Amino acid sequence: MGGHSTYQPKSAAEKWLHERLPIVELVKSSALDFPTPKNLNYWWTFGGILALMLVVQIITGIVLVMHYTPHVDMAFNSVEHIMRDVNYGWLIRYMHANGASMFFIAVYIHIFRGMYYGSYKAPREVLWIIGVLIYLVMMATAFMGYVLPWGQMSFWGAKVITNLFSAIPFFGEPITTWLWGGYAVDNPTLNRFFSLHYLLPFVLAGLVGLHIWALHVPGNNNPTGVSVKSGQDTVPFHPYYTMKDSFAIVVFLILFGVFLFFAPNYLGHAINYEPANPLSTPAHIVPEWYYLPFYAILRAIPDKLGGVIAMFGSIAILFVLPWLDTSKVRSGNYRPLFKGFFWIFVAVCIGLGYLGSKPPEGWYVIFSQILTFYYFAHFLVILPLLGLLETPKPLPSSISDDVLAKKKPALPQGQAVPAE
Amino acid sequence: MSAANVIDGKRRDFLYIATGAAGTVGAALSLWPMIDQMNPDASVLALTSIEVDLAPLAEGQGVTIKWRGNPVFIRYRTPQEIAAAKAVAITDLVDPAARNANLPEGAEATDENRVIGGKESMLVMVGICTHLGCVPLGQ
Repeated sequence: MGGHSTYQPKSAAEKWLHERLPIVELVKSSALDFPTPKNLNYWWTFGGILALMLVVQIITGIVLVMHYTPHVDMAFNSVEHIMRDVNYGWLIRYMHANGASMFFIAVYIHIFRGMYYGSYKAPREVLWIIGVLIYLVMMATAFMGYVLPWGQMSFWGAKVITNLFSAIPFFGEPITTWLWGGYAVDNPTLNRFFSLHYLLPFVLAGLVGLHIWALHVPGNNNPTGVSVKSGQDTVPFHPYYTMKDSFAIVVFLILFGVFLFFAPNYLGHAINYEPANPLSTPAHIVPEWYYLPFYAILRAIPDKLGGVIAMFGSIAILFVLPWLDTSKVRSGNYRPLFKGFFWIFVAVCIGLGYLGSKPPEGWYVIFSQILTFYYFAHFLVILPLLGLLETPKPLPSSISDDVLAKKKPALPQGQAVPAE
Repeated sequence: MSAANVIDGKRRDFLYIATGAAGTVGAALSLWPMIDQMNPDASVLALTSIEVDLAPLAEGQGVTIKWRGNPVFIRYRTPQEIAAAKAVAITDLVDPAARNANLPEGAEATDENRVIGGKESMLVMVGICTHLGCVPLGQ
């Protein structure tokens, strides 16, 4: 991460520390002086937003644990205790519950941005793979967190999702029994989910560290997809992107605030305010909105094991995306055909999300099957073929040229300062 | 350089400081709920007072009850015990403060300040040492 800093310890104390732990230089080179493409748009601010959301979730989560009781007889009441008795408990719990949704809104925008601008392509494959891992751990964390209030949807969501593992041939039953610590979702299940729900955010924080490390080796991609060629193409991260990210964070927090203060239960399910009852299943079991596309894929396949494979496959396929996309051009801005297919793909994902919220009957199933087929075709057929068939638009010779061409077409060449 | 390109340093400094100040105040305000949540919650505050039936107590008997998580010693004292307690001078006590939540702060640990008002036979004390909070032995 070093190499970009001009840090020279000044005082004796700074020198003393620098010789033992060059942490000031690390921060300066990776968070302040880091050369960043000067043309990043607001779609690039979601990385910073996500980092903030992880911090918000960890802080509010640690606070909630101070008042929550992980026991089947007390969990539900302890959450109500947080809502009614604990000072600002309502605020902290709503922050945590809506924060999870905000986290997923941001991560989906972040993922789609990476897909549109080809941020997964060489030399950023490892960066992308770590990102998919982060997404997987996020989903596991959110799932286990949703079980903790021990409402009806908590319980039945946990039962349905853990039962997915029973589809595994031969070992299905022992695996589910092992996951539950019994013959149904019960107190041992709640306790282990609580333990893991506390652990995984710190795993996430570690993965985010790796993600940033892997980002800082090749540096940021940018809207042109053209690699940085000289110092003219970049600006220091601070103050240019610290300010841009901060502004985006403020706007994002306004959206967060709208849900938090005006519709804190809009994204949840009313039935989860009913205590878990292992003897009575709700009429419709629906996961939180951020799982709905995958839930639709799961239910589109008429076979239990097939559905489970398709659902996990729909996420696993993201790992190999860098090798499925055969085009050498990164940015969708220069790929006329890809651009159209990208937006169709976004629409398909949203469509799957809608279908996931509907009961699995009639036309909903048929549309789910069509969109599931398209989802996989996008990765396995369209992306590999597009790279071979499509004629990309001419790329700008550098980021700087592209910026100048857009802002001041009349500016004569050669007026710019030579590269360092 | 046109007028629009001239950097107004003072204006920039003002914006910088104003942004930083607003951010600091916002961060401090959002920190407060995270601190206040550790203060006693409504369910704890609801237990400020409890009722105890002292009718079954006979003279010379004591009872220990729990109030706000601490033991409270209630003792139906004999006249001899009362006299012995009254004989102790305030200056002989290591901690001369009454620490009676029903009395103004700083009240002295006189015998009257440790009994139910008007009934000096009923001694009521929070049963923890004012040093580091241990329950005295021999109760």
